[in-house]
Amino acid sequence: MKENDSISKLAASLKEEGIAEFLAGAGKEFSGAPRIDSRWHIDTVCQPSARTAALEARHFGKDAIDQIDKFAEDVRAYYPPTDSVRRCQILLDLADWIASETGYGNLFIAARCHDLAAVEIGRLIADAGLPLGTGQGLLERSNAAWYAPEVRAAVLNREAGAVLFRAHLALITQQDLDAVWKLGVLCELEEQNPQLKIARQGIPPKGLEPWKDISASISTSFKSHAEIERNAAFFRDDPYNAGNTLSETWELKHHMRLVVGLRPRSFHDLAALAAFRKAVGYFPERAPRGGHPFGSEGEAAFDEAWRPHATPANHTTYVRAWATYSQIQNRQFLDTESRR
Amino acid sequence: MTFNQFPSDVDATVYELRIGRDKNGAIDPATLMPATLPDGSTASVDCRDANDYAQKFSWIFAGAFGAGLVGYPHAANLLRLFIYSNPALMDDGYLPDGINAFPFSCLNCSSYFNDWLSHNAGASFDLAGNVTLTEWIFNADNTYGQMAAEASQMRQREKDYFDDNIATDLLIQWGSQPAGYSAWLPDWYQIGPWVDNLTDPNNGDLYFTFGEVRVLDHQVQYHANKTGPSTVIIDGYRSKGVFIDLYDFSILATSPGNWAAECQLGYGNGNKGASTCRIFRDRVYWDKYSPP
Repeated sequence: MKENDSISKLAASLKEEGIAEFLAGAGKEFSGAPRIDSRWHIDTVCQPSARTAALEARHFGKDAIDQIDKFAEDVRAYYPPTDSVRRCQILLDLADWIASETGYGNLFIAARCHDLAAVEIGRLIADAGLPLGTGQGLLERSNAAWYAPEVRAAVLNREAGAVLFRAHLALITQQDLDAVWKLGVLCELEEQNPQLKIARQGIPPKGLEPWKDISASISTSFKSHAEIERNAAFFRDDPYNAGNTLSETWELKHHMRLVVGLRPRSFHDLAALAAFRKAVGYFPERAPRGGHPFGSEGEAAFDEAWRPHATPANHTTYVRAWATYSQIQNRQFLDTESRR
Repeated sequence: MTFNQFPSDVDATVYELRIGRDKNGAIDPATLMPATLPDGSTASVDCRDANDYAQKFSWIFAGAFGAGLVGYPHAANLLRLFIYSNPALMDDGYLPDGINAFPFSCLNCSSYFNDWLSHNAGASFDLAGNVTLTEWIFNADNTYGQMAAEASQMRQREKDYFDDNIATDLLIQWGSQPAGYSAWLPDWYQIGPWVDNLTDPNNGDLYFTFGEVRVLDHQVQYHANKTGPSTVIIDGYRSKGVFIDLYDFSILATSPGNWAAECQLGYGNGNKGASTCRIFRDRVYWDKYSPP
């Protein structure tokens, strides 16, 4: 954690200079980003002595989001792709820098940067006049280490102030993360309604018979059940609203998002588009002769071009490639917040 | 309620009676509402309150996040959409590919699925029974599309079509073709539309995810290859289509389906305005391919 005044300087620099200059200047000057904890962590777990610095880091995080939102206007504008590489690199650099410290807020902000970068990468891959390697290289940069289950588990443990996601983090899997969260949710529900716990541990009260079976399906497989039970409140997230932006949810508790994973789904779309272009070599537009059972001429054309490369395992790649390509052509391939 | 015999000297008037379960939290959950049925017999309806709702919701929530639907990942993830109307909580790989809004009437018979809706709850219906619902789209390369493509109900219809049409055509028309001749047959053939339960004794996830679906488009092709003077083999195959399904729960179902239906109903003023347990429609494309 940086000292308060250092964080203040970072925030001031980011506000005054904008993202690109910040990364070239202050961002390099400091060895890394401050760790940004959740508001819930600060209010519930954080030691009083560390609270001021933690809040300062959160303010910096909000300033960063505001700057990213400003930057997003250029991404949404779909300016000519000549500057796409630069915009994309700025976003990926900021993601790397902010995630150099793996805190709750750091990961959300880094994922937001990636989500925006994906828009520019898509335009680069879909531009047949540019080498495929340009967009593909940037796409590979999105395979960040901080998406890994062990990183998210470490963040969740620190946020909770307890080792809830098992100690051997190197071995933890996505399934482990899911299972612990489910067990935590069950414990939290039992804390809300003690009759549920009675149902699990003893003879279920009338109407609660199924609870015993439901909870038994996972509750026996974890030795840390008691620890999870003691920290049941950690598994009570704030409500989600599909229309909210990161800026709007910044103060909310959304730890489950870390459990599920923050990697933007648009990277799947881009991988399909890149695989299609690599195999086919171009983006077809002319539909095959005769009738076809496809939603559009373009989709039929993509299908026909993909057939020689199709196997039972990958034969539907053309679907996602076409959907992504047509969205880019119609300027509808946007970041998640803009799609809402 | 009791109706007396209508006097013959009074003009008849048609009244519309709207009845339903009052799930207002102010009512004692132990109270049973007496009701007189049309045949004169009596019955009672147990009233639910906020606590009861929370209990049922907790079960549904636990089901959606794995404790109740272990081994049924597709069903669990779709249940999350039902609970939160938000794909953000679905696992990576199960996310929908698109979203549509479409008008839906729970009373007008020309509306798809009004016959399937067990109760007009789980959405903000207006007094005329209309609402704009969300339709989530799953492409053919989505895990939902891939699961749907394997449903035996698809295969049975395709097999019936093949036996009744393609096999006959091959016998009649391919006798004069030289060995080595091959072709996709037919250009594309439309089977359906049709309505059926998607079930598989070896895949409970399939039924819990979709149940009864309405197939709008189902097309098939076979690749025939003449390998000898009197031998034709089918060495390639493709099945493609789309179905839609209303995601809602029946109050008449056994648990846990009726628990989800109660969450869909809500309490107090019903689920109107609630942000949880909203009905939606899913549109699933499939594309199954076996290359020659």
